[in-house]
Amino acid sequence: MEKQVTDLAVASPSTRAATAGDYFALMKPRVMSLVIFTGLAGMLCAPSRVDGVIGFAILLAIAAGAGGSGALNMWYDSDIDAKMKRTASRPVAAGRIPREEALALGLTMSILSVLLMVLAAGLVAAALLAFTIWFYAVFYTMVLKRSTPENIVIGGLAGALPPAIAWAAVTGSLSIQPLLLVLIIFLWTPPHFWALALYQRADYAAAGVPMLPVTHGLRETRRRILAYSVALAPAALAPAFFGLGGILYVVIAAAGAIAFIALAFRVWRSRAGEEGGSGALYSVGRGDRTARDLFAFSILYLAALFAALIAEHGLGLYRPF
Amino acid sequence: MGLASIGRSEMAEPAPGLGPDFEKTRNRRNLVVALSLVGFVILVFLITLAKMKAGG
Repeated sequence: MEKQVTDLAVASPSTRAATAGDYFALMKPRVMSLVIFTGLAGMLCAPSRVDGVIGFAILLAIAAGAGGSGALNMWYDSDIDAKMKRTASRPVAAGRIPREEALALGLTMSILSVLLMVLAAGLVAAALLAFTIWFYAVFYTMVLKRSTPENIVIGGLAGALPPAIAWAAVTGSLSIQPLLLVLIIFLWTPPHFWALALYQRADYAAAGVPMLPVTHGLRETRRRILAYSVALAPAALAPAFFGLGGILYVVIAAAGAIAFIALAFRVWRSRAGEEGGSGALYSVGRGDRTARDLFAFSILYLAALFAALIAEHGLGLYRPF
Repeated sequence: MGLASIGRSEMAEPAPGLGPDFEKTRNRRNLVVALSLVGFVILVFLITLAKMKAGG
């Protein structure tokens, strides 16, 4: 799908002035909170420690990088966002913030975040952060999203990298352990987004986004959700064998993996997505509830895994498995 | 009408749609930007201090 629409296709300008809250929404605060959370886990799991101010600056740089790339995403995707019920109220799509302001804010924050990371943690982490911003804002948003049903599989790498960035910021290098954390988020992303896409297929189809349910159908999407969910289980348990996850982590990872696979199995056996969807995140029809439940649980599972790591390494609860 | 008078009349009348609510929202937004900039400067200063303390 080519980007054919100009500024004029975006919803007509809102009558009210953009508030600071609109600019905050432009930075995708939920994504920012996720990267702060996973970044903090990566930082605490690292074998060395940094000064509190430096640690704060590292997390701020990661959050600002995510916010900047989120603004760039909303700048570029305003045509798509305006066509989808779930995203039509976003500040650029709804006309509350002009596209050029979103672009300016996105570029400014992206550049400042990388400079801040250079200052706080050095070139390795800053280069990794710059790569992540480019990967999300340019490669995923401008190339993958409109051209392939594997968009969120490959693009998921951008959302998966923050623990590795934080680890590199603290240690100055990378190793297998942070890459395991990256792998968890990378494998978690497809079932998470495909579960949502199952019951929002009509929205994606109307916007011309080639999500898997649109291009390969619902049955194939449900099958791949199950496949990725099964693959996620060993990846989620792997940190226990590399000195990252202790007993608390293993219990949460194992119990959560069983529940995750069970929910994915329910989706596979269901007719999720065949009702057409309502465009809402959680308020869905009876037939789509299996997909909605998996979508909701996937958020809880990822949060629980990284909360366990934070509790073990930040609060001293680590007991080797 | 000279150029100077055109400039004066444009400045005298507020642009359409810029009511008190708009001004208030814009002022609040500007304050957030200003505070963010001040915060950034303070953060850079504190990072410098921390680096100097660590001998880096």
